[in-house]
Amino acid sequence: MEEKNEEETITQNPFAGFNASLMNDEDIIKFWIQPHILFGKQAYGIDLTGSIPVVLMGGRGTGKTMLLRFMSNDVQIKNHISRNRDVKKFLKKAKYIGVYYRFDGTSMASFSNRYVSEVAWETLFKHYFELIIGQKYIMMLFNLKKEECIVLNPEQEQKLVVQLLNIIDPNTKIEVNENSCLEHIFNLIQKKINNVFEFVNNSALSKNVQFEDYILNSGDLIFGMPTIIQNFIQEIQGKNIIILLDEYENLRELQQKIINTLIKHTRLPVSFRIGTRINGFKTFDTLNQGEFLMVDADYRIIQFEDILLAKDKEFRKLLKKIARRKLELIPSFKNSNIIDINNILGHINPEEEAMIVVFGKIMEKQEIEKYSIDKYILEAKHINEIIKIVKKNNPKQSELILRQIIYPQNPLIEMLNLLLLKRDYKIEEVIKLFKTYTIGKKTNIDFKKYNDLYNKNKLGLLYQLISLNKPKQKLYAGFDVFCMLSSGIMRNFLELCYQCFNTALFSETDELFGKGRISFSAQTEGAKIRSTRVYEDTIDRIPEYGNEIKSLVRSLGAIYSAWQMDARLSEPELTYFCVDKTSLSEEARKVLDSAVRWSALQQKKSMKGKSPGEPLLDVYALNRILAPYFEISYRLRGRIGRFTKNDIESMMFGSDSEKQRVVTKLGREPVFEEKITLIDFLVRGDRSED
Amino acid sequence: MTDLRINGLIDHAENARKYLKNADIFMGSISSEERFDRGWIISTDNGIRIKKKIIYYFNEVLKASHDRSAEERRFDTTFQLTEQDKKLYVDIYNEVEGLTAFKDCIKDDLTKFHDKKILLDFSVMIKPYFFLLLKYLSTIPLKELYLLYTEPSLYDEFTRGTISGKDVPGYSGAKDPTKKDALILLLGFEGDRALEVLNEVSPNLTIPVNGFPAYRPVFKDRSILENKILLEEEDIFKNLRFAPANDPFETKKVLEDIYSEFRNEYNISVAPLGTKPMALGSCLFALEHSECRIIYPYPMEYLPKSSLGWGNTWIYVMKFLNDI
Repeated sequence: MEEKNEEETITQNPFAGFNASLMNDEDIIKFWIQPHILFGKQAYGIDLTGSIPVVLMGGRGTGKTMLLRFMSNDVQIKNHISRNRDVKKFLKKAKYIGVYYRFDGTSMASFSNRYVSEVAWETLFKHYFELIIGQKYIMMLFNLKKEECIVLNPEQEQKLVVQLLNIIDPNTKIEVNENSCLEHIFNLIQKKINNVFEFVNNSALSKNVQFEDYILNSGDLIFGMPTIIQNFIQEIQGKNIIILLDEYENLRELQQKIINTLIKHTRLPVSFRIGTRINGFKTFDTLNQGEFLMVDADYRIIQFEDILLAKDKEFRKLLKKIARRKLELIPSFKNSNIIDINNILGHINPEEEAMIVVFGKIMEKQEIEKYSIDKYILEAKHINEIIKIVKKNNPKQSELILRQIIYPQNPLIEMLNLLLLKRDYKIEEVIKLFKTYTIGKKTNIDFKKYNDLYNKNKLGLLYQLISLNKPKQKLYAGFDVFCMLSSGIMRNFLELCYQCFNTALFSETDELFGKGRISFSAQTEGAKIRSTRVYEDTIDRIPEYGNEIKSLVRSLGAIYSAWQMDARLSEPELTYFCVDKTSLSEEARKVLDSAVRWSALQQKKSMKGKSPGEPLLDVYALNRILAPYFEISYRLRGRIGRFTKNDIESMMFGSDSEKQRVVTKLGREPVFEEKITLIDFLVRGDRSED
Repeated sequence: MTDLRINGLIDHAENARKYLKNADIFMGSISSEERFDRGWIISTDNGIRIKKKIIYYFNEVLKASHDRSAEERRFDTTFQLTEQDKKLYVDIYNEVEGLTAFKDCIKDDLTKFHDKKILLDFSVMIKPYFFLLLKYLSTIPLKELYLLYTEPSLYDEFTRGTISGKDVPGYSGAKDPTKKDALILLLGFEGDRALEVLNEVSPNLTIPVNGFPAYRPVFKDRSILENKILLEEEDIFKNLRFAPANDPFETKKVLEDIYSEFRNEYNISVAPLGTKPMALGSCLFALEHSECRIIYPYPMEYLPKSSLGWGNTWIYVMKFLNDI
């Protein structure tokens, strides 16, 4: 039996299954890595365990649910026990006790129909939410009691039950006896919740359905129960009771107003942690007219993607730790000591990749020295492009000139020389700059100039080199690149790993278990699968403005790809755009908000426009995970000039011909003739068919 | 939570007269799908006498036609409508409005309604429509109900645009917070919709049910292929079950088996994404187990013609054994 298990784990992908919503408590503990970035001072001094409400904002897969579930009392106690600590000391050490609740979107929508007035739905939802959290408190007590963190003798429990019943339903007659236990309260609340659902279900059938139960007001249980509980149970006194609410974006606007009001007027020891997508707040208003939630005054905010990206090094460390935890759980990886994802994925720089494109492999210096220059000049496609220009400018001495600007040790340098020629640099000047650089005269001003040009453009030049060598494709490989493609979203990184491990486990087991490496091509294949799925599945399924977002993303992909092939490479690695959001129609603003909520676009810090006097513009970057799909850069380098209202709205809502017109206007014509035209790209819309 | 039990049988619609000679009400709906009138034609061709017809005239279908009044006349002629019959003008994605219109239509007969024989053709209704109608008819309580369903010959284009998962009105169930969540996905030909529901619910356990045997060999395994991404998840694939695509009662039985196995540990939600007969099975199941929830991914955009031609027409005879 043991042998069979061992055999089974050999092919098990360490990165399979990691959605925190689907994990049990034990898995949450097993895969939990303390994100110091969030708990440390870097998160702008926000105390996640303190009394001020905190909003955790981030795209799908950024780790919000993992964090909220980890903070729940169920997981905290189990985590305490798993570290062989004395369970009785759990509450002594705990600063807070968390109760977790996830808003299920499909159910929240059912608290509305035309048979019942909005006022009645408001009353019913307030009542329902009190019951839900009240029941969570009782479950918290069950949990603490079961694990012997608290001791309640029957007499105490009876008294507690009497007081709780008094606020849950004062109309209930109370007889204090041996049945007056917490289970009684739990069942009573469940009965009341069932009453709510019976009303919800029947309200779809008839307008005459009556709700006959004692109606709770906002805060009755949410703030009332912790006060009573703390009075009775000494061990809980002084602890913050943190209500951890996940997927806030699933609530209707009215429902958010109800909870916003509770957050605004929270009463200690209760505090809130709200997990939501970016732009998941449909409103910041409360139920009181003119009152709304104010950041810093009423709550603090942590933007996951911003923090994770801003603290790039920390993010990498976190991803490495998470990957290590997953790899260590699979014996075949652990026993072979293949647990460092940095080593498994390795690293490839643009110069090495350029060699693979031109020579088919990374060449050592000695190998290049032995390589026939004549053969190189004849076969290398980018050299052919240089020859065309040189011959045109100086047909008699073209051979001589050519030999002065070729550099097989690094084809990207040759590509830079080609670029300079295309930018109308004189041949003599190119030769001078190039020679100064290759000789390595670092103090010379020409060295600095050439070096700056090289560093600014080398990745852009690599894309152009690859386009000359089709069907060769850009590699999206290496730990650093995977971190960048993740765009601050942990699930992206884990999915990238999952996909490339799938390929490696299927066709590269010798390399994986022999050398502890996954080939760059397998990594690229994995990256393309993930990228395509995000484009074709995730963006397709966005419920609000999914079609418009897909249309915008497709147009952006076409524009960025076209700029990459710009003959003069005037803006290398274009991946973001600026727009004055206030100038857009309400519908267009909603499309942008939804695109950010679903992480198709990521909003960056506003910046000044390129022309003097322009106002601060809103900046949006295409999620880097889409880079492999469009074969564009994953770095946040270049931006296009400001998009106008017409440009962006045509890309969202326009007819096919309007989209084509805008894309042609905003894009650049390709530098090499064999490259597909922008129109082809748009019409085809699907590069996976390449 | 209720004492409702539903028994039923399935037969070819051509044999409908074995079960029903006269129907008090025939309910149907208009559509651009060619199969919309097959149940009506077969019933009348086989000599079933119908006293009154109530037909849903979906606004979206009429709007999609080039000549609305000509199209409406064509539907009137098809169903041989007379003055005593009723046309209910309703929106296709507003099942609550559909039910209200139906209730208004029968309010005068309501006292004796439980004895009525109703023949309901649900072939071209969207699923939440007949879910809500059946829920209402089960509360009257009706003794018997006769349902007609015509298979398509081919599916043309499916839903277009984005979708939003919601509880079907009247089927929100009642959740026990001490239990985990299980989602039963009746697989259809649109993998995106299954993934959408899966994301909305985030269940601890997912059980896919494939429609097998399919209506016709040409549909065999198509739902498996269309749900490839979902079924690539080992934890989901290992739970795969099967129910005949055209048999609601067998589907209900499969759901009952799953329910018996998991009810103690899980809150059960069902997403009827497969064929309409399978969806009917899940509806009957949820009527008997009102704590279970039905989720439906509502498309944002209506497609007037999602199927071509027609195949078999079935009659489902249902008896409500209601102790209320």
